[in-house]
This record gives sequence, C-alpha cells and structure tokens, in this order.
Amino acid sequence: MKKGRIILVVSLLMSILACEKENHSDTSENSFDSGGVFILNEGNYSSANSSLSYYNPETDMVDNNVFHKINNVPLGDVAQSICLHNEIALITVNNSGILYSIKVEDAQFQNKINGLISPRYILPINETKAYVTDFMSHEIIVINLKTFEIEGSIYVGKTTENIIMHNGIVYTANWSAYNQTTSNNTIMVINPGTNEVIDSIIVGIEPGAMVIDNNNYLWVLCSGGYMNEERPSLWKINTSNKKSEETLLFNDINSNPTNLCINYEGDSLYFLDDGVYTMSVNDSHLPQTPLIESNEKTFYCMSVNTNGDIYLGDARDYNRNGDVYRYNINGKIISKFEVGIIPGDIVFID
Amino acid sequence: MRLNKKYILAIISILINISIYCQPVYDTIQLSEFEIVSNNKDLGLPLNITSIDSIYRNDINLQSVGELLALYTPVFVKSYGRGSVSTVSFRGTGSRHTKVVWEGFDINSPMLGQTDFSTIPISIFDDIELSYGGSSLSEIGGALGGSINLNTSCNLDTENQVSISQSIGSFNTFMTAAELRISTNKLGSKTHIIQQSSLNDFTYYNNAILPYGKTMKQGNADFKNRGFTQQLDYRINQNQTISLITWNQWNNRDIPAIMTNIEKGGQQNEWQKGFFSRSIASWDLNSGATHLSGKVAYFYEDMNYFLQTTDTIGSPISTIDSKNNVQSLSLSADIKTSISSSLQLKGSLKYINQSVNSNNYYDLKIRNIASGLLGIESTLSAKFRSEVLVRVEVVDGKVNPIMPMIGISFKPLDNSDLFFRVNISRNYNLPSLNDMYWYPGGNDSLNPEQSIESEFSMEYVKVIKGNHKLTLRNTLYYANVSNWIMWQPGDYRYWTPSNIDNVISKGLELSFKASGTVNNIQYNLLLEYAYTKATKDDISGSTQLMYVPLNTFNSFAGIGFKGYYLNWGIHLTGKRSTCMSENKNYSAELPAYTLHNISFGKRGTLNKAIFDVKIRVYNIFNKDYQSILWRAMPRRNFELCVGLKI
Repeated sequence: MKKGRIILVVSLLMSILACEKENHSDTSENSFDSGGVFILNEGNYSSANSSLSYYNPETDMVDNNVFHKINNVPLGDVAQSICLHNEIALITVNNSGILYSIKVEDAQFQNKINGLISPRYILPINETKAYVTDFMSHEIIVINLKTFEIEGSIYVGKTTENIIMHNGIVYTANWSAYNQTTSNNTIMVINPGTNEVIDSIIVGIEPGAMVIDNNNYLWVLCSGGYMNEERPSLWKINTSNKKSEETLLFNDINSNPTNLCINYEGDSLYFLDDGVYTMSVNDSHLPQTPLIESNEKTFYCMSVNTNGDIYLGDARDYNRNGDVYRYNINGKIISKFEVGIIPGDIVFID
Repeated sequence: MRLNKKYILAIISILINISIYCQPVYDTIQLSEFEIVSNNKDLGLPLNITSIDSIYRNDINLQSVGELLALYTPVFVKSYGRGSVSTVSFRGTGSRHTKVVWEGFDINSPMLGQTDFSTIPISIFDDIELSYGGSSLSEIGGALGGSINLNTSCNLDTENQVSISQSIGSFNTFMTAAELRISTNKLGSKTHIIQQSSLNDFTYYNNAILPYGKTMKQGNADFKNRGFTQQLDYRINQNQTISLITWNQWNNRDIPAIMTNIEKGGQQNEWQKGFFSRSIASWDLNSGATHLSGKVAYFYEDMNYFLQTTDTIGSPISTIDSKNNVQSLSLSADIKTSISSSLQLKGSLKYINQSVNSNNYYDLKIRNIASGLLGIESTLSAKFRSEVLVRVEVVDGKVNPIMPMIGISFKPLDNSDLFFRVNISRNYNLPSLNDMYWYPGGNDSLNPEQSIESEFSMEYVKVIKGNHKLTLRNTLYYANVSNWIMWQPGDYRYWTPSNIDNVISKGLELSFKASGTVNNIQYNLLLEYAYTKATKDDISGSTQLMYVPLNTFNSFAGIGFKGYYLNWGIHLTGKRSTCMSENKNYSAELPAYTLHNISFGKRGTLNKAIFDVKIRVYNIFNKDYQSILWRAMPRRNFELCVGLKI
C-alpha cells in the first residue's frame, strides 16, 4: 500500500475518533426563589428519563432538567411526586425505589433513602416523621426526616397512593389493584400518633386525589377502575364520623376524571376530565361544562396556586417533552412553557 | 474428503468431556487467511440485495446475527446488551418493518411483529442476505425497511465433514457450535448444534446514582441458548429433490435492572424463557428452464415473560406471568421459468394460518393470510435490465391494496462493471397481533402501515492487476411511511395503538470494499457509512425518530500472512435522541461512541484437519458507553476461539 493511501486511512480513523463527545458535566448556578414552581416530569417507564423543571412566574422563564444539571446524575425512572417540607423538597422515584431530598433553594442533593419497593406519595407528619405510600407493598413506610432513615412501617393490607392529613388524622387512598388480589375501593384512616390503622371508608373503585374543604369535608375522586368497571364518582366524606354524605356519579363510564384540587380558600373544587372542570364545594351536582377545554391537549396533571392560577401539565404524545399551561382563575391563558417528558406533579414554592 | 473415524471419535470425546453442544461455525475455514465467499450474484441486478461476506461471518461466527449486522452492515441494531433483546431497523424504519425470512418463511413473531436477533446464531446459516426497501417484496410483503434472508444450502454431493468451534470468553461466556455433514449423491444430512451461555456479570461504571459514580457488577443478566438444526435432502431423480429441515432452540435469559434502578427495594425476579421449533418440508423440480417448488412449514413458539416483586422479607407482592404460544402453518408454491434468454417469469402463492394463545389476549386469536406474487425480470438490452414485482395479500378475507415494485438497472459502459439502479415501490405492513388484540388496549380496526419508497444506487466493481478487487456501492433512498402505528394512552387509562404518524426517511448508504494480495500479504478492507434522516412530521415540527442515529460508520481491516491474521473493526454509532422533542433537554441525547474490536489468529492444517485459533478483544479501549439510555454495557473483554474441521 502506498504511503498516501496509508495516510488517508489513518486520517479517516483519526477523524472518527475525534467525532466522539463526552457526557454532560456542566452545572447550573440557578437559585430557586420563593414564588417559583417545581414541575416533576415522570418520564417513560423503564427509560429513566424523569426530570425536574423550575418555572419562575415573574420572569416567565423555565429551567429544565435541574436535578441532573446540579447533581450530575439522572433523577431516575418514573418520578412520581414532589412534596415541599421546610427548606427541603422530597421526591419519590417510583421505579427506582428511591426517595430523594434536595434543597429547595438550589436543588442540591441532600440525602436519599433507597431500598423502597414502589414509592408514590410523601406526607410529612411533623418535623421528624413522614409517611411514604407504595404502589406494590401493603405497607406505608415511616421515615425519620432528621436522620433520613426508615424508621418503621404501617401494615395497611393494600397498596396505597394519595395521602392527606387533617386534624391529626391521616387518610390514604387504596388506588391500585394492579397485580393485586385485594380490593381498591377504600380510604384507610391512620392515627399518626400510634402509626396504626384505625378505620376504613368504602368509596368508589380507584380512589385517587383527595382534598379537604373549608367545611372540613374530605373529597375523594374515584376514577371507576382501570378497566372502567363502574362510573367514576366524587365522594364527600364527613371527617367527624368518617361517613360519606354525598356521592356524585359521572354520566360516562368511559370518562377518566383525575387530579382533584381545591383552591386556597377551600371553597372550589377542580378536576381534570379531558378538560378542566370546577364546582363549588356546596354544589350537589357535577359540572357539565369545562372551565378550560383540552383542545387536543393531553392534560395529565394540575395544581392551583394561592392566587387561583391553574397550572396544567400537558403530556402531549408521551414521547416528546411536555408543556405546562398556566391559566388564571377565569380560565384565561397566561403563559405556556416546555418542560420534560410527561409532567406529572406541580408544586409551588412558598 | 473421506470422513476419518478416529477424528470423529476424538471430537465426540471432546464434546462429551466439555459437556457442550456444538455446531458448524467454521464452514468456510480455509487455509487462506481470507477465503471470502463473496460472489457477485447480486451485481447489476435491478433489486438491491446484498450477501454478507463470509469473512465477516467468520470473524464472529459464534455470535448472533444481531451482532453481525451491527458490525458489518449499514442497518441499525438496537441492542440492550449481549444476550438481551436485539432488534434491527433499516433506513430509520421501525424494528417491526424488518422481516426475517428463513427459507422463504417469515419468522418474525406474529405477536410482536419483530424478531429478537440475539436468538439467531450466525453459524446455522450458509448465507445471510439483506434486501433493502422495496427489493424485499421479492421475498415478503410488509418489510418496509427491508428483510434479512437466512438461507441454508442443499447438502447433496458435498464433502462429508465434521467441524466444531468453541469459545471461552470474559464473564464466564461459553459458545459452542458443531456440525456434521454426510452426503451422497442421493441423500444428504446436515446436523448443527449450538450452545451459548454467559453469566454476563461484567463490571461497569454506574454514573446514574448518588453518591456520584460507582464501579459495579452487572447482575441478573445471564443467558443460555441451546438448539439444533437437522436438514435432510433426498434426490428423487435427476430433476427432483425433497428436503426436510427443522430448527429447534431453547432460549433463557434473566433481565437486568437499568442503572438507575439497582437500589430498588424488595427483590425483582425478572426473566424470559422461550422455545421454538420451526420445520419446513419442501419439494423441488428443475425441468429445463422451469423451476417449481412446493413447501409446507410449521412453526411453534412458546414465550414466557415473568416479573415478580417481593417485599423486603421475600414474600411476593406483585407477579406478572405472561405466557404466550404461537403456532403457524404455511403452504407455498413457487414457479420460476425462463421464457427466453432475456425474459424470466416468477410466481408465488402462499397461505399462512397464525394462531396465538396468550394470557394477554381475551381469547384465542387466529389470522389467515393468503398472498400472491408475480414477477417479470427482463434484459431489455445489453445496457438495461428490469424487474417488475406485484404482490397482493388477502388478510382474513380482506384484500389489501397491491404492493408493486419496479426496478431498472443500467450499465452505461460495455467494458466496465459500473451499474446504476432505480427502484420504486409501495409496501404495506400488517399490524401485529399484539397491536390488534392485546388486552386491554388492542385495536382490531388498525390499518396496515403504508410506505412509498424509492432509491437510486450506483455499484462499481474493479479488478486491478488480477489480484486487487475494489467494490463501491452507494445508495440514496427516500421513503414515506404513513399510518405508522403508535401506542399512546387513549380515552381509557390503558394504552392503545392507532395509525397516527407519518414518517419521512431519507438517507445515504456508502460502502467500499477492497481486497487482494501484496507480496503474499492478503488484505481486506471494508468501509460502511450510513446517513439516516428519519423524521416524524406533525404540528410541532419535524423531529428525528428516537434511537435512530444520523450517522453510523463501520469498518473492517484485516491482513493475513502465512496463516496468521489480524482483523481490526471500528464501529461508530452517532448520537441518538432518546425523546421525540426538538429541544433536547440535557440527557435526552445519547452521545456518539466508537468501539474497536480486534482479533488475532492462526489458521492451518494438522494432518487432515483444518484448525483456526484466535483471540478476540472487544472494546479494546475500555470505553464506557450506552447503546440504550442507562443500560450498562461491558468494557474491554476477551474471547478465545478454537475451531476444527475435518
């Protein structure tokens, strides 16, 4: 082979080697101010492409993938929920079995609990204790917020999902029956002082989001089941006697209402059923006309802030980055911004 | 060659002692360092079909066809790691748009619509062909990207021989193949046995968990495949033969967690077990200018996917036990006849009955497909050749639109092997049975996916001074795939497929080969480059499909002298998007990576036996890389291979 040809081949090989790129390693110097918004993006199951976005409503700027940028590792596989507690944000990463704690002000990693089976939602009980619900395990995990270690568990007998506390009593929804033999139409009532289940309330199939209104009623939205076994329903439960006082049935068994929210004043309910619907806590019938129509968008999560602004996560086709739409209390759009794949939870920084 | 009993006994003893199954891998072992079975049967044809040269097959002959295609062809192989699922896509299309055709029959799973290439050993086949785009219509319908054609040759009037090949590699990897060929003028028998097993517990750097960065061992990634093929050929008379071939294989694998999930609680017991038995009986008649054949095929496949999650004390809390059985019975009749020296006709009729019994379906599902092909191949002049194909499919009584293809090749210079080729085709891919019947979510009103494809290619072959051969092959293509099936959450909670996407795929394939001898040193060079722009168009713009690299490059360089040889392969995979957004958020794009593999060996004779001993090093620069997001891949690893043929 002539020299020229050898040089040609070597040059080609060198150029191939030169084509490579190294992994990202840059860091961000962002600070996440009060008044801002964290958007937790689930990502695709088994793809480990969950992410955390931060939105500043004052500047209308969004910063995506902040967890990865600042901590140099991906958030994990299916980030399910985010909960703010004092200066800390707690994030469950469902399919990674991890609970992360990061500082709210800069998203710096603080601590983690691994070895969880399928963590879903977190409820801080006090300064030292929090509960973590689980999609597969029949136990709620009790963690110590100071040491960030598992302190114990509460046997519930069913899987658990959304969790809320009112007047010193904890309510958690038995949402999923996926690969389970147990029923999924109850709310379990727990005494956080003793970490014991003290009661249960029968509701519709697949109870999901729960809110407490200004009259101390617990509202529970039930989707009717994964296979639409029954009509979806909205339950109004008296927290004094744990009895249901009203059940509002949705007309269409094929509808799939989710994301029950309540405004700061506690007098208006919001939920997603393709579009956004709202009703007064005193209404005895379900709204028929949406406040915000979906218009081909795939609204997947919703949160309402203290001003009444409605934030909606649009999962689009579940493969692209999602969008978040911000509407005012009257359903008028204020802004829209791109976030990560499948925005699934939105929290407001006080 | 006369079969020597002593050698047979010796080989059987070895096999018993090491308790392994074997099969014929070194079917092309020769004294020459680069005995290349590379005929030019496809040169200048109107169809774009290429065979993989034996030199590349021999380089990794104990591996799977998936690895072969990844290293030495322009198709893109999406692999979750050795022994794990490996799928193939041509020209930016999906893995279900690549059909795998064994002896004329589709072996893609009717449930998934695709094939796992990690379960197809290279060594079983005498020839592996790639039919690009519309050219695949000569073999099968629905291969919008193209087809991989796996063929075994007739075993009459060939030499008796025994060959075995054994490798021992890093991570407790053992691969074995053995073959016994016995042939007379009347009867031929060919038996292959294979076994591939590995603990696959390689070390990797996990940069997906905190505290940052940890060197870990891959867990739960072991696999074991074993199987055999048996072929019997019988010559009825001078014009007629009958053949029976059966391919049976057991495939077991554990499925590892992704890098972010290795600290999950409880225990994850995730595995997949499969068995298939594929048998074909055929009759062939050669009568003058006419060739007739009739075939009956019966394919049986069991596949069991299992995922059990336990709580912290080991009690199961969630179990998925997916059991699937697929059976298909096929009948086919083919005719090929020469009307004149410049006109050939071919016709084919095929009937397939597929039935699936799965606990993921509501009940037993059956699909009947009848198809017909008519082809005319003509030599229009000394410069022009053409081929016209028309394929039609009737699925459960419903006639799908016809699938036509026209190809023209042009040889502008009489004294030069320079060819230009143009192909235009339309093709339809049926929805898989999972798309239609998965419970819940399946959609039995899906339409077939449609593609309109065109390509323009150039081929040039030049032999210099009698011992240097250069081959250049370049192709430009354009395909528009509509009704692309995609699963998304629908009106209900569960996901459901629909015909929603439109994908435009266009690109360039460049291939350059050179081989020859200089001062008794043999050399062989391959350079393959593919540029693939495959975009999905919708209201939000045009974005490159996920896991379709814009650029891929493969090269192979080998030299041989006095039986010693050294091969060096370089394989570049360009950056790939892991989400469908134009705005790539941070980790949404996997970086490009380049892998280097080398093998060094010696071929020679020992009495009447031909041996081949080589050491192969994979990933010689110890590169940490990801083929799929957060799936661990092995660093540098080694393999020692010994082959013997008598």
